[in-house]
Amino acid sequence: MLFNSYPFLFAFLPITLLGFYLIARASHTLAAAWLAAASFVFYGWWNPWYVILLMISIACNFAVGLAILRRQGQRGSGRLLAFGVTANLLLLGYYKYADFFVSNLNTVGAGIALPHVILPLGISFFTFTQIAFLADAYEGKAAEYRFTHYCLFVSYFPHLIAGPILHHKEMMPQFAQRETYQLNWENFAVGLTILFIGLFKKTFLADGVAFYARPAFEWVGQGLPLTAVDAWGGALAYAFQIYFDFSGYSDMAIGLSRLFGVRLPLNFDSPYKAASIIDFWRRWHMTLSRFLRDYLYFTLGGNRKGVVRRYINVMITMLLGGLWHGANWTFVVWGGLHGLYLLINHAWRSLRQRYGWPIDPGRTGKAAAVLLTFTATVVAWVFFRADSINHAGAMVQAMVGMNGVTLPYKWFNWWFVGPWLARCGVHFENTQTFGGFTQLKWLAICALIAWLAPNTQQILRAFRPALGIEPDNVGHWWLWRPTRLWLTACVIVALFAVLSLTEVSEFIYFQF
Amino acid sequence: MSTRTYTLGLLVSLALLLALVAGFNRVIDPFWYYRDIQIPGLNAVKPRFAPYERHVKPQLLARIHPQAIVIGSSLTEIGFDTNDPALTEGGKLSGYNFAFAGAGWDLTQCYFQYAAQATDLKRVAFEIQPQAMPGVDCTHRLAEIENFSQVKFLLSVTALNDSLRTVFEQHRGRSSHTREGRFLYARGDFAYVLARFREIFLGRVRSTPQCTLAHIPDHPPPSAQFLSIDITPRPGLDLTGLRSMLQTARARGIKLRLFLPPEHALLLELHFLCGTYAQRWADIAAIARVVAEEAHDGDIQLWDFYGYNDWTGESVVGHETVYWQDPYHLNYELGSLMLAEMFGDRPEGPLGHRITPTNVAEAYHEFLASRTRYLATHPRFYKELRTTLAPRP
Repeated sequence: MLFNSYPFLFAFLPITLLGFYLIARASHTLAAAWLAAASFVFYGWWNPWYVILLMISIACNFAVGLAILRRQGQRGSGRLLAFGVTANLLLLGYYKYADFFVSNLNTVGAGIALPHVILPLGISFFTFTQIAFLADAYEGKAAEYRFTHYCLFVSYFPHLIAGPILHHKEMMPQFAQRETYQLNWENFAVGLTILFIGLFKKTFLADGVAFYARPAFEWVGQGLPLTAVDAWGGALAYAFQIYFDFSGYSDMAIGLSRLFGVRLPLNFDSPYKAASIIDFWRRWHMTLSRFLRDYLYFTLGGNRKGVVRRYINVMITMLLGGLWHGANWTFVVWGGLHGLYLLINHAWRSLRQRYGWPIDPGRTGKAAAVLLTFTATVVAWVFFRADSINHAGAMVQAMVGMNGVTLPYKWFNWWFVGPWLARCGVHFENTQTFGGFTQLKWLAICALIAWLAPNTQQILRAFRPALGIEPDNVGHWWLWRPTRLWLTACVIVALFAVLSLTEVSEFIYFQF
Repeated sequence: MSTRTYTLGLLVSLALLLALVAGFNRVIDPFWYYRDIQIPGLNAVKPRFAPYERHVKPQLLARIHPQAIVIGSSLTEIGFDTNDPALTEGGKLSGYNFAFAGAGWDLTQCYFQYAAQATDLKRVAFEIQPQAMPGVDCTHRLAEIENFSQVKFLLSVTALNDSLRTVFEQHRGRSSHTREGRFLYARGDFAYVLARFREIFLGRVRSTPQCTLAHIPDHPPPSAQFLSIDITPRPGLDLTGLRSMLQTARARGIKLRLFLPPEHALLLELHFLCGTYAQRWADIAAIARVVAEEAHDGDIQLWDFYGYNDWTGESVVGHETVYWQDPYHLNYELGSLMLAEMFGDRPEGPLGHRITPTNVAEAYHEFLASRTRYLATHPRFYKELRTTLAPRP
C-alpha cells in the first residue's frame, strides 16, 4: 500500500487510528498488537505471501537477539551475533542480489538461468533495522524486549517500506510509555500538518517535476543523442524529483507516526543546502548514513588506522551503500562517485587545516560551495537514475556539451540574447525533451523551496516533530502554531496534495 | 486556537473543499466526459478536451459504442468528420473520431485492439505511414485504459485547473474538438497556417543535409529525373503488428481501409528536391504484399493519397486555405473526399489509389505523371515554394 493512495489515506489510516485508540482504552499491549497487525496488512497489500517472510524474519531475529541478551558478556554471544548478521545478509543477498549475481556470472560465460526472484518491498530496511538490533543487543544497548513491541518496532508501517532505519533503543521506550496510547490533540494537529506537507511534496512537487525528468532519460535509454539543455533539464528535474520524493516520504513517515504518539528519528534535513559532500551525507537519508557509519565504517576501522585506511574505508562504505540501493552497477558507480567526492572533501579539509586557511568561507564562498556540492550531486544522480552505465555516460556526455547546445526555437526572439547566442554556435530548434519556460518555472520553484524555504522540522520545531529535535520557540514568523492562518495554509496544501493523488506513482525509495 | 479545533477544522475544511471541487468539476465537465450539463456562457464551449483526450476518448468509445471510426495521429484527428455519410453508410452507423494527437504506430495499434474489443466495429479508416509496423505489447496500455478511474475527472488538480479555464475561456467561443472527437487545431487561423507551412518547410530543409535553400532551383526538375527507383518490397521491414491487426479485422468482419495520408504538394516537391522520396515506395510495396496476403476479400484495402492535384496543391500564400492547416494536417473537407473514395461512393476518384502488390510501380508512375501535369498547368507553383521558404522580413 502506498502512503499516497486513496485506500491508505481514506480507509487504512482512519480505521487503524480508530482501532488503536479504542483498543488502547482497554489494553496497551493489545493496542500495540493491533498496530502491528495493521502493519502486516499494510505490507501484505502488495503481496500477502511476503508477510510470512517478514514474520519469519522478525521471529528469528527476536529469538537470536534474546539469546544474545541472555549470554551477554559470556562466550558464544559473539558467535550468535555473527550468525544473526550473516543470516540477515544471506536473506537480503538472495532476494535482492541473486539475479544480479547470476547475470554477472553469465557475462563471463556461466550460462546459468536467472532465478527471477521478486524483491520483497522494504527488505533492505527491515533487514538493516534488525541487524542494528542484534548489534545493539550484543553491546547491551537493547534492554526492553517484549515480543509484541519488537514486532511493532520492525513492522511499524510508517517506517517499514522506506525507512527511517530505526534503533531499538529509540522506539521501545516509546511503545512502553503510557502517553503513547492516550489520544492527544497536539499529536494529531502536528502529525496531520507534517503528513500533508509531505504528501504535497510527493504528489505535487516530486510527481510534477518528474514529468520533465522521464523523457530525457528515456531518450538516452533509446540510444538517441541529447543536446546539453535537454540533458541538464532532465538531470535537474530528476535531482528535484528524488529530493521532494524522499523528503515527502520522510515527512509523511514522521507525520503518520506522530498520529500514533510515536516520534521517529529525522531522516532528511535539506541536503541541497549542504556546503560540502560531508555535510550532504549528514542531511540525506540520515538514518542510513548513521547505520553505515556505526555498523560498517567503524567496524572496518573508521579513521583509527591511518589516513590511507580511512580513505579505503570511506570508499568501501560508499560502494556498499550504493549497492544497498539496488542490484545494478549504476548504483555502485553512484556510491563510488560519492566516495570519491568524500575523499576529495576530506583531503581538501586536511589541506586547509595544514595551511591554516580560514575555515569560514564567507557568504559568497558558501554559496559557491553549495552550488558545487549540488552540481556534483546532480552528476551522481544521473548514474542513480539511468538504466545502465552506458546510458548514464551518454547523459553526462550530453551535459558537458559533446552533442552541442540547442535552445527552444521560440527563444530565438529573446531581445538581443537569442541572436547573440546563435552567433556563438547555439542552435535554436525544437528541443528533444526540454519543456521550455514551463520546465524552467518548475525547476525554479523547486530550487527556491529547496534552498531558501525552511524545512518541515524547522517549521514545526516548537512541537518537537522528530527525535533529537529540541523544542525551540525562538523566533520566526513562519514557525507553526495552531492559528487560523496556519489552518488556512495547511488546508490549501492538503487540498492540492490530495487533488494531486490521481496519478498514483510509487515512491522512488520503495524499490530499495 | 486549540490543537483540537485546529485538527477538526483541518479535516472538516478539507472534506468540504474536496466535495466542492468534485461538484464544480462535475458541473463544468471540462473533458466532455459526462455530457449531461450544458450551460451557455458557463461550460458549453470545451477548450480543454485536448489534454485529457487519451483518457476520455477510450471511455467515451466504450460508452457510446460507435460502429464506424477513424484511427490515427493528429492528421486523422483533424482531417475526418465522422458524421460523413461515406463512413457511416449514409448515417446508418454511428461514427467517432478515435484518433489521437501524437499517436504513432505503437499507440494506434493498441487503440485498434481496444476498439475492436470495446465496440462492434463495422468500418474503420486507419492511418498508416510507410514504415515498419512491428507487433507491440498492448497489455500495459490496455490495462491503463481499463483501470482508469473517473475520480481523476472529479478530483485532480488538472480537472480543477481545466474547469476554471473552461469557465474563463467561454468568450472564445470554440471548443478544441467537436462532439465526435474531431480536433479543430488551427482551423480558420490563416496567419498561423502560413506560419506553420514556413516553420515545417524550413525545418525540413535544415534537417536534410543535402537540401539547403541555395539548392532550390528556379524551375522544377523534370519528373523523368525521378523515374528510376527501386520499388521491390523492402526486405526485412517488420510488419508483424500490421499482420496481426489485419487478422483481427478479418476475424471480426470489419471493413478496414488502411490509408497513407496525402501531403501538401509543396512538401511533396521538397521531398524530390531534397532527394528523400525513394524509400517510401519500397515500403509501400512491402505493406501491400502483407495486406494482399491477409485480406481475402475486398473488406481490407490499402489506399494511397499522394499526388499533385488542385486539393493537395491548394495555394497557401495570400489565400485562406480550405483543405490544409499545415503541409501534413488536412481539413475534413479533403478527408470527406478521401472517405468517399475509400468507402465506395467515388471509387478510384481523382485523389487516391487503391494499392495492390501488382500496381505499386504503376501508382508511382501515376504520381510522377500527376506532378508533370500539375506543374505544367501551375507555373506559379515554384514561385510559391520559394516565397514560403524565404526568410521572414
